[in-house]
Amino acid sequence: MNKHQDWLRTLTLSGVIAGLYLAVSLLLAPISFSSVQFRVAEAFTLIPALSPAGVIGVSLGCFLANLLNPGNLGPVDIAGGTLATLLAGLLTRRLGRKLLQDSKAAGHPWQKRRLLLPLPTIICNMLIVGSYLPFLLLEQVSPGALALSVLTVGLGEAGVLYLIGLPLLDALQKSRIFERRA
Amino acid sequence: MTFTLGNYYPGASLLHKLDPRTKILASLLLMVVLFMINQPLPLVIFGLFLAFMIAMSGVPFRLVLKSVRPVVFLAVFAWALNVFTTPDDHYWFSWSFLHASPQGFWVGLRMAVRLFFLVMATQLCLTLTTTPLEMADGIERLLRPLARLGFPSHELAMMMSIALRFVPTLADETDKIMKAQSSRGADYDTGGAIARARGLVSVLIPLFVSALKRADELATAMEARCYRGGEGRTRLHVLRFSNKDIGASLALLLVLALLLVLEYGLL
Repeated sequence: MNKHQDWLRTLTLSGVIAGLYLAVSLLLAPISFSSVQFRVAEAFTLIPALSPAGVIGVSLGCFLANLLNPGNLGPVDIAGGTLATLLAGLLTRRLGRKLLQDSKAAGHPWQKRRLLLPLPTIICNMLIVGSYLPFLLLEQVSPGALALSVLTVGLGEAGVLYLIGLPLLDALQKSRIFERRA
Repeated sequence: MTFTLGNYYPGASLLHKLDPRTKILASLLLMVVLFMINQPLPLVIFGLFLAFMIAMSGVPFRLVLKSVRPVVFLAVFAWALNVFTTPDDHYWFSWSFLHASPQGFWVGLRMAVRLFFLVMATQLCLTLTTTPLEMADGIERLLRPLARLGFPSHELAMMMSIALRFVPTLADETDKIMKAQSSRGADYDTGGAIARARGLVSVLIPLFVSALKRADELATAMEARCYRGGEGRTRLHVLRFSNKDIGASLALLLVLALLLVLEYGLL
């Protein structure tokens, strides 16, 4: 595959991953958007560990889902959520590659340490989304309200990523569908 | 399966005909001003202006109200939190660290109203009167100056178009896979959270496999048509600012300036 073909495949793959994120977000909208966000599509935020196209795809999907979601809290929510996902995607990509390299060097499968992979997404969303959310809802933000917001966002993310994200990542890694496209 | 992307309501109103860039920038401006006003009179005027925009757009009022439904819980939650956390001279009710104050009641109400206005204004300017593809075009044009700095604005817009184009197909695919799995005994509605989450994984994997196959086919088709990115590429629909955009922008700026004058008493 030459450089142009590779670029074109990354472009279409990113677009399709964004479409997947958007479709799953909109289809599962009733449980996706509320003060405790339980967005099933967030499980896709682990895809960057397998493919670089996942970083842009998931961030773009998050941007479009926030933009088209009837319950979005305006431009701050749209931009903040996207920024958190982009940052989390980049960190997951780095962590995924590091874990894979370390595992290959040590001769054991990375599966053992894959439990660390959801941490960038959980932390980024807690710090970014959890921080701005109370400022959109409260006139005077107390430390307690801020802590509650950070905690609920973190719990929602952790639930989705450990219950759906990791089994999905395991299955996709076993199927090697991303490796064939690298 | 019928699946509609976004909440677009077809129409031929002035709001529908405005350039998507005008609407994106207007919704940003509306949000900034909405967070700058606190007093009742500017908020009431903002509400009246919003009602005027809804009437002008031809979008049924119930549809705009429906867009607020997902944030009702959030608004009630925010109102309650404000009631119990706002300090005041006297309280209606006190228990442990919870103090319900009259001041908090009004502050909470104002925040809830502001939240409803925010959602309604964003929905009206963006999703109800602009198609997702128009929005993608508008975002690409707004980001175009960044292309000089190396930002891949065209590629981003192309990915957005691919994503939006594929959503109905992927939604259809999801429906088919869920039905196929259900016919084999899968159950998505009963059981605990873990069992339901596992059930969803069995849908997401075939969905991914099929989506990646589509991405490969699309890349081959684009390559066969000599796609080389944004350079030298022309458009079927070219976005142009018209007199309508200038008039609407000036009217909006006038109303927003009036709101700020009323809020800060600059006269």
